[in-house]
Amino acid sequence: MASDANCITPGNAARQLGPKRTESVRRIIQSRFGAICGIVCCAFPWLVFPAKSAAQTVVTQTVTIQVSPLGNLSSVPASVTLAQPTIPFTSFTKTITISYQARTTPSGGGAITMQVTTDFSAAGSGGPSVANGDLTYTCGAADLGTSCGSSPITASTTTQTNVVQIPSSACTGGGTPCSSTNTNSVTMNLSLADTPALTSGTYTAALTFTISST
Amino acid sequence: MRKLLFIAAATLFTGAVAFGQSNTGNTTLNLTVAHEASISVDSSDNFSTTGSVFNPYTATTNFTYKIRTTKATGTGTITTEVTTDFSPTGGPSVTTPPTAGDALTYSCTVASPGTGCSGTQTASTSSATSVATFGADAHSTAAGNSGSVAWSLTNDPVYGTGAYTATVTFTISAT
Repeated sequence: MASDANCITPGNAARQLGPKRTESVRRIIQSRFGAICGIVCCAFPWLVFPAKSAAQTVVTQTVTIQVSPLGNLSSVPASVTLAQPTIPFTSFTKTITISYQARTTPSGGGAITMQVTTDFSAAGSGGPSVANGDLTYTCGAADLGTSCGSSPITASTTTQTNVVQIPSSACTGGGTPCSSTNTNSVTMNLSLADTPALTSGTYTAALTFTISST
Repeated sequence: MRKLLFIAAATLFTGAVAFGQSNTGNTTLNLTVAHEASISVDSSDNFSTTGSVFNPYTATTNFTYKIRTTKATGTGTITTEVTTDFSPTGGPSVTTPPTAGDALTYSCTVASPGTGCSGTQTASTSSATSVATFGADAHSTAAGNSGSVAWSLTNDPVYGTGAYTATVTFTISAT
């Protein structure tokens, strides 16, 4: 187990390497990959600080860390109920929060999409129907990426519709250049038009959210 | 040392190979569509009289209703009630007509799925009287359906001249 004293920090480097080497290490730390180098040096201190001996042997070792793009839906509500409108024949509404984590490559990107995988009822049956365009949604601001915004999007049973677009070189948590929070979130405002034509009854639909990252 | 650091850094950089990745989450969306109704009426209607002397005063109140009743067992009604009698005093009165037989009466015209009141109804300040009824699984259009009440008020010579105002409240309900 490496002690903290072996971790590369400007202070430790100065104490252990002296002014000349400290300058070299400082440049690396301040480079784009400085943070990664810091992790490697903490995990494998012998690469950086080999034991001092009269006859020093230098051994090179290749360390490979594959940092892949990731997308994770931390939480989506398991079940929600659209609320009856307070003003008759306006809209059934519900606001839900989607939590997610993402990491994208400099040339990649990501997205959160939604698709209605089970409709409330068949179009033309008298009940609400996503296939008939009855369900729409808007989005609040996303704290990583760009949300679908305030213009209503019509949910679909056949295609995935946009919720959040995640840019290249994006990452969750830890602060700049990543997001400040360790889990990102976006709110969605679901709305279903309450028209007199709807047949009374209880209905259920299934929404599937997908996060993808490259 | 510098060489070692370079090797490590370079290897890490080239090792970051991109692979697409995705996962999913599911939400069940529940909705209960219940019975519901709303109505909008003219804010103000004025009585007028035409033709022969002492012909009744007449006026028409137009309304638009929206309704959804329960599929198998629902019903609906539109009613009206004089919630504030004519004022000031000295003129017509629903509660206390100055002459027996003086009355505020009305007939109804209501678009389907409503059924308008039958014949001539007499308005009351003490109870709601029928304008329309609805059966089970009744649905108006999204924009609402129309209806009207044609009022008739006795033109009694005993009324003092002047302007009189009453308030009539329409109520729609659905089950």
